[in-house]
Amino acid sequence: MPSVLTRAGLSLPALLAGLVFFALSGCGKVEPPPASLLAEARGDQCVEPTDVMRRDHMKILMHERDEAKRYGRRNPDHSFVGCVDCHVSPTANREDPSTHFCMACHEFNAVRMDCFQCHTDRPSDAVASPHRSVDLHESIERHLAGHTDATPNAVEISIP
Amino acid sequence: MSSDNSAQLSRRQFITGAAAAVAGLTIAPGVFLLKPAEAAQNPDGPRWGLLIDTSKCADGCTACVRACHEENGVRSLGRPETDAQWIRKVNLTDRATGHQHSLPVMCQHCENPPCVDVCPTHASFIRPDGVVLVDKHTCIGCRYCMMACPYKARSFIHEALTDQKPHAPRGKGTVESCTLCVHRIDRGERTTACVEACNRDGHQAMTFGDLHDPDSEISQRLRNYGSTTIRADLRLNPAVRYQGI
Ligand code: SF4
Ligand code: SF4
Ligand code: SF4
Repeated sequence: MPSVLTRAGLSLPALLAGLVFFALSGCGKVEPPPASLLAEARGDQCVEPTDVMRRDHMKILMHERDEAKRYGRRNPDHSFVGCVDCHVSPTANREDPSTHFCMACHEFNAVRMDCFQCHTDRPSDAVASPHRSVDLHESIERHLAGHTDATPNAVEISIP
Repeated sequence: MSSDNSAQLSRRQFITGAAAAVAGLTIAPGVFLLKPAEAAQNPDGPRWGLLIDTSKCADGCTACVRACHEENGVRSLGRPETDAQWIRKVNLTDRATGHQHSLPVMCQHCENPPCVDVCPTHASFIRPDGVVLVDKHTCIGCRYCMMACPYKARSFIHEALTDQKPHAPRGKGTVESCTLCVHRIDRGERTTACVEACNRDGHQAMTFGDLHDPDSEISQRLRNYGSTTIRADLRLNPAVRYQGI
C-alpha cells in the first residue's frame, strides 16, 4: 500500500511537469515559411545559430537597442541595419511580402511588427546613402542642382 | 481644524516633499537641490558641440541646411507648414544700426535640456556625451518637448514616411531634431554633415569637436575668442555656441 502511495506521490509531480511541458512546447515556436518564400541571405553565416535567431531575434534587438540608442554602445553583430543589409534584397518591396525576408515570415506567422514604420525596409546599398553607395559630395551636388529655391527654411528676424 | 491642517500639509508635501523625492536631496525644509532625472553626463568623457562664427556665415547660403537634410533623409512633402526642419537659417537685422547677419540654428544640445525635463515617457534623453536625442521607440508624439524647447528646434512627423536613411530612422507620430550627426560620432568620425558642407563651400563658419578636450580645435577657439549662446539667460548651457552675435 505505501508503495502505491509513494508511487502516486512521485508520479503526480512528474505528471504535472509533463503536462506543463506539453502545454509550453507549443509556445515560442516559430514556423518558418516554405523555403520558396525565404530569400537567401547575402552573407556567409548568420550572427547566431538559425534556431536562436528564429526564436529570439526580437529579444536580441530589443535588449540591445537601449544600449545602442541611449549610450551609443553599438554591437555591429546585433544591429537592425545589419539584419536588413544581409537578409533583404535590394529589390524587395515590403508591400509584396513574398519578396521581403522579414515580411514573408511575419506574414506567414501572422505577427504584426512596427519596425519599418521608422526604420528603412531596404538594405543600405539600395537606399541612396552618402556613406554606403554614393560619394557625399556628389550627392550634395546633385541635390544642389535640383534646388531652385535659394533660401529654404529661412527665417527673418528683426531686433527691434 | 486638524483636517484643515492635514489638507495644508498634503498640499505642502505636494509642493516640497513630492518634488524633493524626485530631486533627491533636501538641503533644508522647503529647500532642495534639483537634480535631473536622467543619468548625468560623463565629465571624464567627451561632450560634443559646435561653434558657429556668424561673421563667416554667408547671407543667403544654405549649404548646411541642405547637407543636413540630405544626410538624414529629411525631405519636403510639399507642405512647408508641417515639413520637418532639423536646422534652419535665421537672418538677424539690428533695426538701430541696420546691421544684418545670418546664422544656422539647430538643436542646441543643452546641458540642462527642458525637452528632457518635460517628456512623460523618457523618450527625450541626453546621452553621456551630451547629445540630446528622441528615442522614437518610446515617443508618444505628445509634443510637450516642442513646447518646452526655447529654440523651436524640434519637428513632429505628420505623415507616414518611406525610404528613410538606414542610420536615421524617422516615422509618423514621433518628434525629431538635429542628432548632432550621432551616427557619425558612433562611427568614430569627427565632423558633421553641416560642418562638412560649410567647409566645402569655403566659409569655414562651423567647427565641430569635443568641448571637454582642452586641446581640441573647438576648445582652443572658445578659449581664445569670445563666444556666447542664444538665450544665455536661460542657463541651459547649450553645446552649440556662437561668435559674433
Ligand atoms: S535645443 Fe531644444 S530640443 Fe535641443 S536640447 Fe535644447 S531644449 Fe532640447
Ligand atoms: S513628443 Fe515624444 S519626445 Fe517629445 S515629450 Fe512627447 S513623448 Fe517625449
Ligand atoms: S549636426 Fe548633423 S543633424 Fe545636426 S544640424 Fe548638423 S548635419 Fe544636421
